[in-house]
Amino acid sequence: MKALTGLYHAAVWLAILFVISPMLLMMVVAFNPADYFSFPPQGFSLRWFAEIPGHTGYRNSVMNSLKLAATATALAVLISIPAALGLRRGDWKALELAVLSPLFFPLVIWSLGLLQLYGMAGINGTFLSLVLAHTVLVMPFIFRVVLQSLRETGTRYEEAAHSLGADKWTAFRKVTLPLIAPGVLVGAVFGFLISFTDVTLTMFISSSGNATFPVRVYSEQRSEGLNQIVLAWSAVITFVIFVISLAGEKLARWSRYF
Amino acid sequence: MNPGIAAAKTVKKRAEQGAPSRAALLAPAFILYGFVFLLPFLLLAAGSLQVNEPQSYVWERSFTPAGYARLFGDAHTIAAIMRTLIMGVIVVAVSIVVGYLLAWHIYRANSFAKTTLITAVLTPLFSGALLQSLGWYLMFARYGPINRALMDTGLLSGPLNILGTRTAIVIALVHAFLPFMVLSIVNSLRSMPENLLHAAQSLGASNWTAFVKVTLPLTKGGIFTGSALVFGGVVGSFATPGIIGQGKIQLMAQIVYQQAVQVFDWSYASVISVALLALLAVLSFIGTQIASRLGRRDAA
Repeated sequence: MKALTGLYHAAVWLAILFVISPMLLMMVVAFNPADYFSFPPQGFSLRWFAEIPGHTGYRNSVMNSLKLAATATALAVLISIPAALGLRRGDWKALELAVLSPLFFPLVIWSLGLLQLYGMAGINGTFLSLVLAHTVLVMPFIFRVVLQSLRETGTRYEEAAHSLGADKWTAFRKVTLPLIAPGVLVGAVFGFLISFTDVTLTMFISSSGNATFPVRVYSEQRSEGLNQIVLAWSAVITFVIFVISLAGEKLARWSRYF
Repeated sequence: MNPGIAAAKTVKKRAEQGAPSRAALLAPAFILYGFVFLLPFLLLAAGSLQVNEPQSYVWERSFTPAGYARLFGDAHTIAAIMRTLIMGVIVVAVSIVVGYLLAWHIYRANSFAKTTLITAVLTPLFSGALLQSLGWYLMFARYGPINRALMDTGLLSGPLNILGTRTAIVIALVHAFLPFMVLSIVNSLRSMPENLLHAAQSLGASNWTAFVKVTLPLTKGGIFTGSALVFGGVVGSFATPGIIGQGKIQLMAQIVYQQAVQVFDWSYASVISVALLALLAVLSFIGTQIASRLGRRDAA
């Protein structure tokens, strides 16, 4: 029995190591002062982090990613809230499923169709075309969390507001919105991260001018390999995502939305 | 009139005053989806039955079933489809075992350990396919930690080419989609009434029996949801097999990308996509049938 418990704990630790090791490795090698990737690192230095601001190409691609993710998320929040209000009663399950449907199709197939649509509409490679696609990409994640918070909240508070004299809009603004605000925030952060890290969809429809960080690094990796600036950027982004993941779980226990 | 009914009527009137109809609330979402989501699939379906003329409009092209005929004779693409599906099954199987282990540990952990472990699972999930596979790319590199460890312990005299192998892709894909499995199972464990386990144990069941007879059947839903997410993820995966497979082993998404963007054969890329969608529809139908069959056997 004791041996079995030991085995169980060893297996759990191995699994945890498996989950964290690639991200950990990426963080560690970013501090290596050597010109090329090597393991074990030849020392500890901030050399490559100091070089980040000097490389405008990568900086611009990160800016593109941030701009795109922020615009698409904002738009998706503005569209998701009314859609969730319209479907909160749960009597139109088919439409609910339709809003979630981008989750069920392989991205590569949708992207291929989009490429053809944008080609015909003559907007291929524009920022607008990226924003439209990313808005739909993140909608299911935001919609689902908003809908769930609306249902957890119920309608009692709104009814109370109406009985005190509030019309629909006032009740929404003063009662419902503040109550679902944490859910909206969680959905927005989910959506932002999905958009920010997307490779597949963006690979098909972006142009070299508005390529995001993941797309730029992916294409570069396939042709000329990795350099230390990319590793430094990756370490920074991974660290920020780690902090966001921790905060979200600690403050909102957001893993329950999966 | 009864004053209570009158008051209720006023409240109801206020609730509807200035309220947009449900159709108006849903309109923005469905207009956007119609244009950006539905229309691309219709174009794809039409394009798969047309000659390849990317420069012309869809209504100008002539129709031909030649693309589908070509697919049936295309051993290279069919092999890639099969490879992708088999890899999906392997990744799902490994994820269930490793995912359940982690989920169980998370479920039983105290609150501090729980937050820490869930963060450890969420971070790679949110980091996305690119950053995850860069990590594995470094791990598997010729002079990376795995080769270094194997050489230092004397198991290997020279570095091994791990990148570009099927095993490397499976490992990276399990890592990429494991979080979905873990979270699905954790959430189904959380919704399980805890006193059932105590009841089983107080009736004399050992820990293991209680787990197999009570916990496992109650969390089947989580396993199925997780499996569907992982399988779908593998079929659509693009960046991970690209970076770890190094072009030596291609999965579906890369074949489609290659045809569409590099060969510029939109018609054939559409044929492959439609065939894949049909295959996925059949597989998900079989999957739900098996799931409901198993559910019923349990209820009986």
